[in-house]
Amino acid sequence: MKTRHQNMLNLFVFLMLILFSAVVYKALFNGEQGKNWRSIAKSEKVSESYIYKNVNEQNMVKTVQMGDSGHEEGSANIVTSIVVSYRAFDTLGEILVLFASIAGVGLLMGKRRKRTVVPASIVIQTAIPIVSLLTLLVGIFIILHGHLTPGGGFPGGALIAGGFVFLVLFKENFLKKKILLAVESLAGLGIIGAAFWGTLKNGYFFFNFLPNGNIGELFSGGIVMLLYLLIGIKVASELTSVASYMIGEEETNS
Amino acid sequence: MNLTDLFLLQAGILFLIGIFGILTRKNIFKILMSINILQTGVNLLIVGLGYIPDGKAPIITESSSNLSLFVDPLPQALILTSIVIGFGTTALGLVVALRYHQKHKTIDFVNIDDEKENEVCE
Repeated sequence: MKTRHQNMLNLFVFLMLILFSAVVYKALFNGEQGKNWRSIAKSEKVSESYIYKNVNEQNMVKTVQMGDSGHEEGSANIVTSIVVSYRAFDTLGEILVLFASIAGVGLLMGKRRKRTVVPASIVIQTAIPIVSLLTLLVGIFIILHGHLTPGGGFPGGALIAGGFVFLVLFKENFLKKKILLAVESLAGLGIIGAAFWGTLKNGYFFFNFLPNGNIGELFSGGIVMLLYLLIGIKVASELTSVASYMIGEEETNS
Repeated sequence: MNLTDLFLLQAGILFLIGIFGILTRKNIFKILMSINILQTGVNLLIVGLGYIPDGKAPIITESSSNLSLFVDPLPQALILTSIVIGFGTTALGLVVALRYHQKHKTIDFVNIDDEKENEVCE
């Protein structure tokens, strides 16, 4: 299906994009009165309240070190402290969006013809148990150290889902979709339950009801580890279910 | 040219490639890929704007004595949300493309008027 004027269309869009990029370049680098994005001061750019773990008070005490305790929030990874502690409500919305999209995938994937099954080769059969075991281990490590190192529930959950996808490729019907759905629902209920437990304790949604501990230890950060564990389980089961929908071995009636 | 300029340049190039693909391609799969490339460009733009010269990753370790060198952690936290939502929309779009292929027997966008004319001719 060729368009008649494909070359003309390409040329037109190319010229339009050159014009567009010139406008954006002028706004970024030659703004009015010599102001551009470089003239922003560093104190206006970096959100220091999160870095120094002092959002509520006006006068910041700028001393946060490894092994400290008694700050507002106790995780060493500041991005994690924003995602799961300060802006946990945001993350709840994100999880709901992910859930909605996976539900849409399941709804639209309903009828598929059964694909012809090709048995896995000897290389795959030998390698997949080892590779998937290592993948699952790395995923669990990343989830449990989400408040100390880069990573957390979402990338760790994606890694665990990768390990399970290897296993699904290795053996058909390795995972039942109903079990995945149940695990996912339980994890989601756990997140909501943790949020409401904080409400019961102190009156705030997603209140940190666990002790903060010392910054940098494994059991620190309070509710962060619990929430990231639940998020990891939920993301892993969701991604596994969407991958097994796409592989498509179960639905037969078309 | 410092590192932030490089980030912005790469982000702009990725963004333009994405828009070019969305506007000129007819294949739905290629359009979805273009949307993903565009989204990568936007993510890189937002994360790159949070960079400061000689910035360090915002993680408190034993060797990080000076916390004023940390880059802005807030855009990174927002981009994490953006990446996950991008995954969800891509999965949904792929499934919609699959249903489209089952109905129309092609992955390209077809002009519905043309299709009706063809049916009348046949």
